[in-house]
Amino acid sequence: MIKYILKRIVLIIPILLAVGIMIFTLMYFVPGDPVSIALGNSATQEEIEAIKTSKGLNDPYMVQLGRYLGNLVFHLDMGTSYKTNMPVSMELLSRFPNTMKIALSSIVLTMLIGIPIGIRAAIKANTFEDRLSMFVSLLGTALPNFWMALLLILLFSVTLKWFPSNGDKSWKYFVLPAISNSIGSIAMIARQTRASMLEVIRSDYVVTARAKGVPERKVILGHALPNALIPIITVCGGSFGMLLGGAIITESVFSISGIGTYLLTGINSRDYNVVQGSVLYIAATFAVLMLIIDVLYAYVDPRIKAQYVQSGRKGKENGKKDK
Amino acid sequence: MQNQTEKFLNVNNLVVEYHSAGAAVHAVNDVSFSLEAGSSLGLVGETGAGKTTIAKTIMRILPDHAVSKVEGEVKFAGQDIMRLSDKEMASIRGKDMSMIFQDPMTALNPVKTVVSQVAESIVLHQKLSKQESISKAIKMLEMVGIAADRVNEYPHQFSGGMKQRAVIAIAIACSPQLLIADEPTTALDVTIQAQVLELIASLRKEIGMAMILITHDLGIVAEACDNVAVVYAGQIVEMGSKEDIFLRTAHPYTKGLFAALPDLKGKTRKLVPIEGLPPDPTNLPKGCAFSPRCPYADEGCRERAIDMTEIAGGHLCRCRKIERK
Repeated sequence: MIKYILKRIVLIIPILLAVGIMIFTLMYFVPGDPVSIALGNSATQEEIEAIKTSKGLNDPYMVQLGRYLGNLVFHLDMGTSYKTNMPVSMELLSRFPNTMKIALSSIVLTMLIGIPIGIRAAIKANTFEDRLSMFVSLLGTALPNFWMALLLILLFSVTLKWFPSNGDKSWKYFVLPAISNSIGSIAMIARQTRASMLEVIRSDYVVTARAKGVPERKVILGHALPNALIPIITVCGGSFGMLLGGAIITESVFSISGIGTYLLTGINSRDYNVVQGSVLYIAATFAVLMLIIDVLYAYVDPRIKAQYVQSGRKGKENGKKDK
Repeated sequence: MQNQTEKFLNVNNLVVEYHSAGAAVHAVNDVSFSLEAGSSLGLVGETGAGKTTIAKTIMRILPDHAVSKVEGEVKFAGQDIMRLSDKEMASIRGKDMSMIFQDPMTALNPVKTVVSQVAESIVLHQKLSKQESISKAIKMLEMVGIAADRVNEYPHQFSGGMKQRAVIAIAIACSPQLLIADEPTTALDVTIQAQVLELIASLRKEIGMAMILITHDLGIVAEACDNVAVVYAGQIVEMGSKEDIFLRTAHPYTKGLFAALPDLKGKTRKLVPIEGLPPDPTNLPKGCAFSPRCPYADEGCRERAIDMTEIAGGHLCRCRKIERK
């Protein structure tokens, strides 16, 4: 199992390199450049070209790519922002806590509310209660995030004055962003949980558990739920990954400086290093998260664990043969 | 009747209906039988005759979402099963009555170790500590022939026969008074079948439990049962001792079943299938359910339902032609 995890960690490196090359190339060919955007219309073409040359932006593609990757791999340096001259890694690091706070509180809220709703709906399948909760969750997935955010601000900041409407000074500032951010994913998780519970709840081993005299509550939570967890984990992990990449709309509406808004301003000012750095960060968090999810699978389902162990063993045997 | 109420299990006028695509499926129609403590009854019939539904009704583990009607009376050890609360029923299941399921491949929870699944019912019903119940579970698994060094494995690491043994271990873990075995050998190959049947027989002798054995295999019934009930289209059409059914066969359907069996001792003969198919359970015939396939049936058979009649002591048959034959 440890072998499998190590193997996966090593595999993250080429993934990040590939992502780096791709995003670099993409940004290289996107029209517009950071210098002319920063200097605006008043600057002459000569001035722009002079600065571009001094920053190495007029070098050939391969030279620039080589320089970027070289710094990245050998110095772990993502460069500095063309606009603010601040190192990208420092900026990302300073914004990470805010993004993490929103992401964590949203995913916890999502799981705490979404999973129980889904379980309940599956037990009461096709009753009024089930139909109502699924209808509400359909609304939840359909309503746009920013609209929910505005409604929440109207009610809780403007009218009731319970929570501040923007900023990031204390936990109070994160309540509304977390709620508005999680409504969509609560609905999604609820629907996913219902679907996978429904599949499991009618399986033979659940009947076996009942026949053993296991109380109904334990049948559902102890026998059915663990078997329904795999798709639920997948969806939770996916939404957590998205959240860690920065919630652009939520961060903008609530004026929280997180990674989403950082990436957005980077894109607008063609700040190559900022965009590349942010995308690399997102790719890295996703890769690590996917690894954690895969390890969780093994923890939940012994059949998957057996596969992992087997694949580790196979790799070893092949290695021996090669020698 | 007086006599019957003293029996250990009484099923009276059981009716179960499912709903499926708007139509009512008449799975069990007026089934009554009884069982003495320690004895065994074979429920024989074709696939879809309602045997498993009868068993699940006694256990009260019918799928709620599909069932539209359950009527009748099930009395088990003096208790009215139908009137118990869910909690009371859960305390009987697994302890006083338990069930072996048809398909061992899907009957075990894939994410729990085998020993924990056996120990679970011991913890629930015998008030033992976790450690004690695990060591008892290991003992039970050894009793059914699973080595102690494999009990911590998961079901996917077991073969089909081993899984069925584990399912049996779960069922007998608390030494129930009644064991319902629903086609316990159908999913197994023939050599394992014999082993499993022998295992059940020896465990029954040891614990002294009564058994309802559900099967479509008359050979298994002959080996393992004292009494036999032949089920057709949700009704018992003939019931009696093993000898009554095998030697003094009365009902045309039962006769048809025997005619369709190969006879290894006698001279080779052509097997005689029963013509036609069992009736559609959403649309049962008005009269005798077997009348469309019965070679002796006449207008009277098709007109109205036939009652069970006792043709000899303890030998019951649902056929109006019996006396005249």
